[in-house]
Amino acid sequence: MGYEILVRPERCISCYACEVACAREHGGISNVRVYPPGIPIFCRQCQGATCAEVCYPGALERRDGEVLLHAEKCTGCELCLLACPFGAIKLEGKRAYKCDLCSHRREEGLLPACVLTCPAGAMNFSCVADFSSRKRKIAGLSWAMGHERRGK
Amino acid sequence: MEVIPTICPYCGAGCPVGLKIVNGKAVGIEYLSEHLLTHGSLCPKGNAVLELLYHPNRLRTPMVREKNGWKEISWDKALDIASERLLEIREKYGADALGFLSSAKATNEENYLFQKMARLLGTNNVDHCARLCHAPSVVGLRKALGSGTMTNPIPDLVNSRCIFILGSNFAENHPIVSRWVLEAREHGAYIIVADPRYTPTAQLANLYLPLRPGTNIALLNGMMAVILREGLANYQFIAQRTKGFEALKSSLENFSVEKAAEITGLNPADILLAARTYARSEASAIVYCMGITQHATGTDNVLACANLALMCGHLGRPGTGLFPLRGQNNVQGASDMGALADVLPGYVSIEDEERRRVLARLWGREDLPQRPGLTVVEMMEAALEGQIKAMFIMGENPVVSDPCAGDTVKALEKLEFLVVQDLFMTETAQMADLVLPVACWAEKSGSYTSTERRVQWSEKAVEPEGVLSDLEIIGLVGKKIGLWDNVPSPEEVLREINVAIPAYGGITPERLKATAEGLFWPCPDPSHPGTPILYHENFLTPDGKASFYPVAHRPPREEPGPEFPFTLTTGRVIVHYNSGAISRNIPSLSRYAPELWVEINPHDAEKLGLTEGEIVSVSSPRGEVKARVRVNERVIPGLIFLPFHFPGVNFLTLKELDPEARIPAFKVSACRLEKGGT
Repeated sequence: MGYEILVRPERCISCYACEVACAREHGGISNVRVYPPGIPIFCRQCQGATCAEVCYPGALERRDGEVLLHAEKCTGCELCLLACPFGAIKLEGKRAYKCDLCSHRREEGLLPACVLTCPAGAMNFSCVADFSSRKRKIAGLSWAMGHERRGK
Repeated sequence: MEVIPTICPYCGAGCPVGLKIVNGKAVGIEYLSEHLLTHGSLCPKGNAVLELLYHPNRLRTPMVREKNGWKEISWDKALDIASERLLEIREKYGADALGFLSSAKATNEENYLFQKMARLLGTNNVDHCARLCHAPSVVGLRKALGSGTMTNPIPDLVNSRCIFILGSNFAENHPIVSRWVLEAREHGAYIIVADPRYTPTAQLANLYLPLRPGTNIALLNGMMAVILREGLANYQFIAQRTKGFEALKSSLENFSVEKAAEITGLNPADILLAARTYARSEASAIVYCMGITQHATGTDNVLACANLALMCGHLGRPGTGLFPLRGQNNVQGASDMGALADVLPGYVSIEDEERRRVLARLWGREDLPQRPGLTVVEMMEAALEGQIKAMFIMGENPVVSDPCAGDTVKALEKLEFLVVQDLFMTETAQMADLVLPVACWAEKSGSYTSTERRVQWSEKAVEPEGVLSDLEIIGLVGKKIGLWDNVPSPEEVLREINVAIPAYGGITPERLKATAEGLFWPCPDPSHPGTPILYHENFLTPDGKASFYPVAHRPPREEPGPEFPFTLTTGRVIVHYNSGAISRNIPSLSRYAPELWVEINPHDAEKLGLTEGEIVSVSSPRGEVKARVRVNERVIPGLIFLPFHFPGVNFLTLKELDPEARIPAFKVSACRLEKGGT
């Protein structure tokens, strides 16, 4: 099963580290947006990628578990922005931008910047099965401890 | 390409940042994921460090003020002016007419040499901003436990079963702490957050306690009353390792959870739950920050925290302890180095003649000045009264960070000579006679001590352009004055520190450079592994026992009234840093919060007819500032919040000092809001 960036919103502290890191790694444009309290929004690399389906010049392509963006083919038509259910694609200067899972870093054997930088450990580079197994364990423990939330 | 490990120049957590160097220029950063504290992670400020390194507004040439403005001068000339003017003023008015503000952002070596310069010039008037953040921790915890520092490392929080957080918003100010608190929560720990404002940290809590500002002691005493009444105290620990318990017990006899609830405004059941959970857990930790210290009762607040931990025996083991989170990358180190008006390096009291003379001999003198010096706020008052005639300010921005800052401006105007060393033309530098541009963290080597007592080496990654390091400037000024013959290297100064401060005895440059994790002081000799957890067997007091100091709630001096009906509290936000001198200049940070805002509860906003986004005037009996309204329920009715990163906020705050630690009561003042302006 492929690795992807999986978020644990209950850990996000809305610190914007991922945004600042992403912008630095991508020439000043961040492909992730954080919405307080605690939801970083970015490309989910969908299996049935509607953005790739509507992209008539073929700039967006679903391959090897990722949605690749071939910027040189992008016409700036914005159809992908309309198609994306998460609003995770944006247009800057007549071309589309989206999360590329830090392909330039992975070529060097490094993890995506947002995953490494997240102080709260809310961004995970993991496969879904491992991720959900870990969540089950935490949920079980929390239940067993009987902790409830009080106050606000 | 080479990756050089450095220590982040922002908060006190001490996160490592790798700088990618190509042809002598930093082209990127890398996350050092081997580090046990951070696993490589960095907050937004850490991610934006390169914008600081190559900022176009950085000062590059020394400047002297002349009749028609600033004039650029050579380094030689600038250092001549600094040394000659300091000597002239000392000659004319005596050494105590000089005031020195050291810097919690400079290295251990720079702080050590800076206070040495002040003391060799004949005055103990050397202090720094630790006075404005954690002086009560230094005073209170030293009294109670023997050392004014964090007891356990941050990652040790994962071993806690209950984490009680008071007046700390670490999710914004020390984001890496969140990682370990969340990790603990996932291992079943119970998280309690007490804060008048519903901060991002409060969002992490199992139990949130929105207490009224300035009522921490009532909450803590209420909890202790519950613990005593229900027999939940650790009587074995109290008997074996503490003294003064009877006095504490009798001081709490007439206090109850109901009284605590009345004073704090909390639900009594929540106080009961907090007390029982903290006391019963096998390992409980207390994390606190400036919500505890920045009060006229700051020292008492700290003592109350210590009382609670001692009563339950939650000290000296993994997952327990007290965690005062310190704000600047080297505020712990600057304090350890004796850049404080009342203590010499290693917290040796100035009144301790024997040890003072030992240090004097190390510095080639018979004795050192014997009278304790003036603290940050007292120095400004003395300047205003004309007793201090010259000030040497290294990397501090008191015009923004001092309480009642209008007085600070007047005080600095009265000086005959003011020299400021800084990266930028700060609000304080603009008032100087001489401005000396300095190297930033990446352009110099040296050691920093994090809030955890973790001492780490930061390597020079790039060559500075046009600027000198703080150490070189102090070294050269001292040499021109005739205090020493050579300008020492960071390694040479650290070797002197190894001799001067016993707790740093084994923290040699060689060892620091060889370890990626740093060393925890006390580390008395080169074979000592360092001490991550304090008080395992003994407290650092003369008899090895900790002491209880009973304290009682005192209401804040300034409470809201008809004229100023709101309580003002101040604090920090994620994208900014302290006086904002750096962060307001960093585009990828300041774009999130470019201007001052005020948070107000929707009920109050409706009463005053204020709407989101409009400009409002906030005033206290001392001053006024304009801010943009943010209406939200983070603050309770009657409370407003201002982030103190912007000029003007501290024109409103109170100058009332804690009687022991001399910290100003920043956190509570009365104010009013008026519609006004565009």
